[in-house]
Amino acid sequence: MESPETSTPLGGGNGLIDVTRVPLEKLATLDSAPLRRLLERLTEEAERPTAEPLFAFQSVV
Amino acid sequence: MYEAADQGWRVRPARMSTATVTRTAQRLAEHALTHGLDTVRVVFHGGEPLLAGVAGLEQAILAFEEAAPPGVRMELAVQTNGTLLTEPFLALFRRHGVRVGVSLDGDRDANDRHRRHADGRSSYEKAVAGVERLREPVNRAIYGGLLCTVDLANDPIGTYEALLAHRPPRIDFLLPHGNWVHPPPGLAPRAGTPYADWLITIFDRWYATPAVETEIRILDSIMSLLLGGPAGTEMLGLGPPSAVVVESDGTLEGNDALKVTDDGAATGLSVYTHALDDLLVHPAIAAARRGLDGLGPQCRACPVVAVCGGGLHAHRYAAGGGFDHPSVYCDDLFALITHVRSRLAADLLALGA
Repeated sequence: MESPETSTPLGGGNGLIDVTRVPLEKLATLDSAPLRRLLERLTEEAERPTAEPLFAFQSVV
Repeated sequence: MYEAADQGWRVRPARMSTATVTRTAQRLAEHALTHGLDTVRVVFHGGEPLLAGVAGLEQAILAFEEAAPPGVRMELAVQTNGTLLTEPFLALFRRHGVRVGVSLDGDRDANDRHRRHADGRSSYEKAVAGVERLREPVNRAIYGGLLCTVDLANDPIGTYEALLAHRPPRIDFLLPHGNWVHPPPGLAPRAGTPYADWLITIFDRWYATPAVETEIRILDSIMSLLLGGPAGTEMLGLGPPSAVVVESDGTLEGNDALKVTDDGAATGLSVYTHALDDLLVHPAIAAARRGLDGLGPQCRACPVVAVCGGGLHAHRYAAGGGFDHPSVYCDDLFALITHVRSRLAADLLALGA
């Protein structure tokens, strides 16, 4: 399992895909630009001090 | 919309009066103050809003700007068919920061299927000329994007690439309105998922690009919801609808897609007699805002309900009234969402998620 420092800062929410263990440094290696951009945006929002947690903790993948 | 079951437009004024615009702006300001909102969004829609003329639209813009209480930002936008989008309008929109969306259904053949002048002439060249003016660098900040209603008769990749040629920051693909009583074109029970197939073809083309070409609202929203993020559209997710429609006579309605139901979108409320909060407690509107609890048993048990949210409220309407049915697009939404989920899951698992 990745450490909190190198994983996406995720928790809470009810998404259908668990991305809480995606290593941040690997986001840039995604081939899909739309997915890369979305993950960057959601990660940025999740890191804001006032932001509600956006991401999933339960995986159905 | 003019051919929908609700024909209320026939008895309403073609143009909203100054008094109604002003009253609407006051109601919106009052609502923002009551609820401590820091931003509200106003979209001048139609019909064709540019028919109000530059002076008429400026008056409306000023009415909303002047009504805004301190600390409340009015985000203004206009949705147009583009045919009247000339420099005087664009200069007005630049001065006031009004974002512009243009309705365009693809290439000439695609666009001319539904977007012709009243006398049958093609509107394509004028619409494209408007988009080209909007694309000029000076207008970059106000170019909102393109809105395209899906027509199964049009080739999906041809449509996407025709739209992409206009370099839109965002494309909004809309499903044609319909329900179980008045099904959308080309949709028959247990006869495949043509709308999903159409959008999946575009998804596969758009998703695989190494550089972002544009946002596609419905696809970005599905991906975001799958990852637990917010939806960017009322037609997906379990969040309550946040849009109110004010008709040209000041009548208040919920989502105007309800015009395709036999009951119509009428609420009996008006900006002259009611606050926007009154609309929130109107039975028809409140029912649409109940999230998961407002859905029928089939939807509540569905593994993708957090993403589709049961689809657009109006698309759930069935004979005898009532909305506790799956969307008429249920099979299509399920197929589209599960396809997107498979692609995302595969890519994220490969990263070690």
